[in-house]
Amino acid sequence: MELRHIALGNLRRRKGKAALITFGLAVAVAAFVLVLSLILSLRATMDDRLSRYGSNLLVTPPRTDLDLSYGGVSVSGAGSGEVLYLDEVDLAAIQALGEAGRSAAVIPVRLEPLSLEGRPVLAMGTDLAESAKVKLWWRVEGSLPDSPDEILLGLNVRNEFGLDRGDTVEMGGRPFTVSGVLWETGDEEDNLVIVGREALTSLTGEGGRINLIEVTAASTSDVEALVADIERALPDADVTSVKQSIEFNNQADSSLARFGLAVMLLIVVISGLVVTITMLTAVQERQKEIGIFRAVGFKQRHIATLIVLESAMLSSSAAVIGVVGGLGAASLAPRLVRESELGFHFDPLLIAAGVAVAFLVGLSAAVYPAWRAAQMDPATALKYV
Amino acid sequence: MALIEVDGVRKEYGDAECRVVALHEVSLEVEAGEYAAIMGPSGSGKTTLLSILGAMNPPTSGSLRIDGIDVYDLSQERQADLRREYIGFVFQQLELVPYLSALENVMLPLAILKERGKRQRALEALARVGIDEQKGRRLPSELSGGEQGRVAIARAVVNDPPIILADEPVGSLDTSTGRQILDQLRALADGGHAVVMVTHNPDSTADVDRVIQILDGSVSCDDGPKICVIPS
Repeated sequence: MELRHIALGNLRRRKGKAALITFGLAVAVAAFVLVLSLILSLRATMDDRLSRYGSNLLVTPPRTDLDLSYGGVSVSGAGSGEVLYLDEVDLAAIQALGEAGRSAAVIPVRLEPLSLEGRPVLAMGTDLAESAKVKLWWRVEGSLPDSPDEILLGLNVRNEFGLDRGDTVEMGGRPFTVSGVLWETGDEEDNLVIVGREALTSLTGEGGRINLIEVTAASTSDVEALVADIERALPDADVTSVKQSIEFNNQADSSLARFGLAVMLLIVVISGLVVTITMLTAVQERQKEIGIFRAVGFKQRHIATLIVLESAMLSSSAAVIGVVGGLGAASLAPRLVRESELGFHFDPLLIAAGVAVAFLVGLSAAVYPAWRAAQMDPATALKYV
Repeated sequence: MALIEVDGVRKEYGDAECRVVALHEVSLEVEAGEYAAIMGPSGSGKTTLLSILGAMNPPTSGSLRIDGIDVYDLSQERQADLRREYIGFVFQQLELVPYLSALENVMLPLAILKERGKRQRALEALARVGIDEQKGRRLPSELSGGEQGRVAIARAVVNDPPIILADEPVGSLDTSTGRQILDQLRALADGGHAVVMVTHNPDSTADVDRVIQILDGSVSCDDGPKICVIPS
């Protein structure tokens, strides 16, 4: 027989108190898992929403002058007029960061003024498949170009030139077929003719030039680290983050996390107190028994170990009940919130955190009762004569 | 050298304003193989003396030596070791742990030891008091009073301690069960254990070698049981 057998035997005998302590701990664990799950779900939802805004970062060549534009209006007459480019080496450097898991998409963009049916347009050469993956707001009537002879028209270009899907037009001295039209985005893309980067390079004959690189971080929380990585990799380039949305996201995340943490702490503290008080009562009731243990040779640490063991056993039960209950509640919660995009995101972290909380609260709450029990006088065994 | 040596033990409770002297300068010795009864009315200090003998209650002054070891000079941890190695207790109302089987109750003093053969030792202790393994699996509530008493004796001797301290061991038992316990204690003394029993019942002292009469915290008489004169 070991101490654990005594601990287990006592719990079996005092089922009511054991159930109360387990319940108190399980409530704390379930609440913790629920709140943590909601925070993770909200964060994932916000990440998802932010990703719909497209790239988090724009990497552009170094500027030689201040940008003389405001509200989309550029004031001419200032600056050297020299256009700088990034190149394939720069692109490869950023793509290497993507392989390290920091970024979800790296899209090189080449911009070139060209002649379409004799009138100037701005052509954008890019990785079309990758763009469509990141720019979730793209709605294409027809299809994306899948050959170097096809182009995608912004809505304003289509309207201006009266073109439609399947028409053939001349651009830069070469015939192209319109594969599709981009629905109105309300952005500069409405004014573009979009082609594959290789097609644009073959038209201009200036391979390797890149005007900007759009980078989407794997997670919004990775943006700042990704900026730092790119700045290290390309010290001469300008790296601009989509600040407003990221800061909003970060602020929302922080507020949410703080609120969640406060709620969790409150529940955990209350639960801990309930467990401590119940265990103290149980220890008080067991004075005589503890006195007998001490009389037959148990040391103070053996008594303390006994109480902590009992708490650990109850914590194990509470961990199972609490994690299952918390995950169940977390999976039901989104259904109770109508018109919410909130979903249930299972993460093994939830189980680990739930188990950790059960043991942390259970064992912390047992410290004082264990100390009190260990201090009990062995002569108690002889009292009440 | 006696196995138990009590020298000038005084025990006070309370504070300066309200002080109660439970024991006044008590001195006595108990030899191995001796069966002694401490008798006295309620509140006379006999249980206080027993708790001091049991290394559980340090005296205000004076000393207790067991096998030459000054018990209250030891740390609390060492006192616990000494209790386990030297002393077996038989408590009032037997005090078996209700959620442990008879066998587990006997194994209780061994529970904290990291050694093999604990179960075998407990089975042997039970066998010595006439309890077999099958009965050993039962909870105390499933045993008769006499069987519970024998389990309590087995628990006291499982470590083979040289000293057995019994606190009113028959006070709450029926006559037959009480008789069995007293017989067991006599047998232990005959086997070389020093047995000290606290009792207020003169009938329990029929088989003891010696009666130590305590009155108002002092030893008023320390003779054989047949010739002790209790002061009026």
